[in-house]
Parts: sequence; structure tokens; C-alpha cells
Amino acid sequence: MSFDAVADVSFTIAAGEIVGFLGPNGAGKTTTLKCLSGLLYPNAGTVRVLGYEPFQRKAEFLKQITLVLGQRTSLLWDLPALDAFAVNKAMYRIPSIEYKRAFNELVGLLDLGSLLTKQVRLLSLGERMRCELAGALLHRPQVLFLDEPTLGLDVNGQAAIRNFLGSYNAAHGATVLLTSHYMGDVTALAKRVLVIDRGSLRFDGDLQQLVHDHSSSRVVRLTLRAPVERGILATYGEVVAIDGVIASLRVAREATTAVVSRLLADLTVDDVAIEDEPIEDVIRTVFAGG
Amino acid sequence: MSFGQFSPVADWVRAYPQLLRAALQVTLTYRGRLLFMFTGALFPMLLLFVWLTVAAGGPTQVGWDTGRFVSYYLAAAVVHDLTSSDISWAWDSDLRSGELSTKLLRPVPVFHQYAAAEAGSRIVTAIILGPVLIALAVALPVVAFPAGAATLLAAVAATMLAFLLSVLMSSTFALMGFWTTQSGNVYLLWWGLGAFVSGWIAPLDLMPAWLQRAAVLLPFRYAVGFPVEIALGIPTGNTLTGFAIAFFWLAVFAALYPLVWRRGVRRFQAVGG
Repeated sequence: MSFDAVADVSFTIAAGEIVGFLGPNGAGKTTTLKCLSGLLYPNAGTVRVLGYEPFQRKAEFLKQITLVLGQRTSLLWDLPALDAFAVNKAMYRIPSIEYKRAFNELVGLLDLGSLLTKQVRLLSLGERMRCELAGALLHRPQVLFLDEPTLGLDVNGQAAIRNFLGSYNAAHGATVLLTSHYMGDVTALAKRVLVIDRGSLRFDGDLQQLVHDHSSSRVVRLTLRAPVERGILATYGEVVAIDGVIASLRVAREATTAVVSRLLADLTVDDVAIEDEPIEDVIRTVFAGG
Repeated sequence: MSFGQFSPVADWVRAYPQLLRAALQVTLTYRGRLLFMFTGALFPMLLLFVWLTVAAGGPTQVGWDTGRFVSYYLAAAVVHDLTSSDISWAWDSDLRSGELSTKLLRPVPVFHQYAAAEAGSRIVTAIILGPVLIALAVALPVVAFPAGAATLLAAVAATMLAFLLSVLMSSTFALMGFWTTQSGNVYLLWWGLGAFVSGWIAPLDLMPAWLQRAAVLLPFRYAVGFPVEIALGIPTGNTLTGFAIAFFWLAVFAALYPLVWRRGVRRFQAVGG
């Protein structure tokens, strides 16, 4: 799959990869997914997915992809999800044996059980999203375009979707392109991220590499034997937080080892952990042009 | 003939039974709307009472008595409920809600997704209205339809044609939604004018000759009045010619739809999806 956009953005995604799109609202993430799935026609450049030009929306192409938009439903609002599944079975012409196999697998992985016979409008957001994903995957698409699949879900709901996507990708080798506001989704699933801002590609590569390249500092988390004054801690690095005996300091990446050695020598430290900056902060730096 | 996506015919044909089934369930789920359907049937009844007042002064100039008026409007109400199409409105709301994007990414052409939903809801109508019509025809001695297998067959065929024409017209007008937010209203205007020559407001038989001649050539009559006229045995003009003209309009809209579709969908894909 490759995609060349007007702003000289191009990328190729190999089969089986999970790729996360990161970017602020209006950066072009959803537009890119719409281009890749065939809803939008690129007025310059070329888009190819599975060897097809998506905008032609050929039936053979549509049968191999799926687009899930977090804020919309493709289920039938007033009917149980099971009925929408039956319609999908018919539209995608899924043979009964394959349907049954996919259905059982998805019901198990997503823990749908009793949800399937309830009217969709009576489901909670998280329950609906799980049904939504099952409906979108019954035809075993090779490529999944997921736009904000965890939008509005609570922590448990997000975790359920993340775990599912991880296992699904591992089991079927499906290619997953994912956008999310929740960095956790991206860090949990995608090794590779594409950072898009104002229609141009700012970064394409390994998530760890992104953190390394754009984060000039690290966070040292200390568990002290006894509370230490903020003023004293501030001589070692920028104090991010103090909560009793637990303190977090931001220190320059290259000075980390030296600072930690001094801390251990000067103070009574029960535990020390060195962490990368939160990914949100790193991304903010990327968007700020840092 | 192809509508939108050029998928193999077998694909969407095989999807139809399941699509119909889902449409039946949706229709039954919206039980409230069925009530609405019956209030829709009240409109011809209102017209019926106007005509009955006229007929009370003795048979009209063209020889319509009470029984014929009652029979006409009974049949007209049924045919209208079986053949009128809501696709323009459904499309309009789908375009606003984003549901159209979902439909666009399914391997069954959008036209057939709507047509199947419409057919499903009409089947429910037929199941509910059928017994009502039979009961009324039996209960009211003035109601009279000329018996005969040929007449019945022709009326059923004309009703199915009326449904297809109505769906195609409505779908074609729905496509205007790609350019304007008023597609539902444009269709309403089209029908607002067309209703006069459709046989819905007044039987063509009672209209001036020049209007009858125009009505026979225009598409509207073939979406409502034509099956009713056949059922009553009072077709305006030749019945076979009527079928030929109905097929002509069917072909016109069947050719127009894909043309407009291609331009519209390209525009849709350029501006937003």
C-alpha cells in the first residue's frame, strides 16, 4: 500500500502492520483514512490499497477492507446487532461456514454474548462499539481503517477494544490503520506511528524513535525515605510533582545518569525509576516544531 | 443496467432476501409509522367525500356513481401506500448523518440498499392493507371491481411497475442531495405538480380531455392512477399503450440515474465524503 498526497506525503504500509496516526484535530487524519478507504477522491497524487484505487470503490476492494468511524454506527439503530450482522453476511456474501467461524470468534473475543439480541440503541457506547467492530470484521477484511474506535469510552472500554485489536491482528495478520485521541491506544498497539499536522507528514517511524528524537529530557521518579523540601529537589532538576515521599524530576536526557548518581549519594532513596516523558508531551513538542 | 458500483449482478441479487428481511423488521419496529401510513390513507378518503357530495346530486356527467367513487379511492389509497417512495427523504437524512458514507463502502450498490429497504416496507404495507381492502370490498355493497384473472393480473403488474417507477424517480431526485440540501423538497415540488395528473387527487376520467392526453404521456399516472384505472376497468386510453409508456419512463429514469449518480458521487468524493 502506498499513498502520495499533495503535500509530498508518502508512505507505504506492509501487510500485517499496525500503524497509528497521530495529529491534532483537523490535521488530516480522518481525511487520510477516507482517502484510503475510497470515500474521498484525491485531486492530486495517487492512492493504492491492495492494488486498487480506493475511490473507484470496486466491490472486490470493498470486500477486503473495513472503515470504522468511532462517532458513527453502521449497525441498524432500532434492531439488534444480530440483524445487522445478517445483512452484512448477505451484502458481503460470506459463506455460512466462514460466517459462523468469524462470528463465534468475534463474539468470544469481544465478549458480546447477550448484547447481540438487544436493540442497538439500548446498548452503552462501549457495548455498541464492540458490536460495531464485530459487524465490521465479519467479512474478514485484510485492511482495517479505524477512526477513533475508542472515542468516548471509559478506561475499561478502551482496554477491551485495544486488547481485541491486538489479538485480532496477531491471529489474522490484518493490517490496521488507526487514529486515536488516546495516546494509550497508539502506544499499546502501534510500533509505527505517522504524525500528521496541517496536511503534512511530520514523522514516520518507530514510536520509541519518535520519543528519543523529540524528547530532550527524562523523568526521574523517586521514592524517598523521608519527605525532602522542594527547594532542595529543585537543585537536581525541574520538579514535576511532589506527593509526600514520592517526587518526580525532569532532567536533561544526557545528564540523567549523573543526576541519578548524585541523588543516590545525597539523599536516602528507597526506589528510583527513570522514564521517558509522557508521549503526549513529546507529540506536543513535535507539533510545536521541536 | 448498472446502478453506481459495477459489481457483478449476482452479488446484489443474492443480498436482496436478507436486505428485505431487515427492512421488514425495521418497518415492524417502527409501529408508530404504520399508524402514520393509515392517516396517509385518510387523504383520499377526504377527496372521496367531496366527490360523494357531487355524486349525491345524481350520476356525474361522465357517469360516475357513488360505488365507483368509493371503489376508486379505496384502490387509490392502497396503490399509493404500496408504491409511494420515501427514498428522497431517507437519502436526505443519510447524507446529513453520514450514514451515506457507510452505505457507499458496502459492496452492494447504494441504489439497491435503498430499493430493498423500500420494498421491504411495502411488503409490510401489503400484508396489512390487503386484508383491510378485502374486508371493505366485501362489507361495502357499493364497492365493485370487475372480476377476472386478466384484470387482476394486469392491475398487479401495473402496481409493481408503479413501485419500480416510483423508486427510480425518487432515487434520481435523491441524487440532487449531492448538490443541494433541498433534494427532499425538490421531489415534493415534482410530485406537487405531478399529483394533479397522477390520478391521486382526481380520477383522470373526470378531467378535461387535454389534461387526460397530457397525463397519459407524463410519468406520474404510472406511479399511482394507472393500476387503479385497470382495477376498475376504466383505463384512460389504451391499456397496452399505457404499459408501453410506463416502461418508457422506467427506461428513462433507469438511464438517468446512473448518469447523475456518477457525477454526484464524484462530487461527493471531492468535497467531503
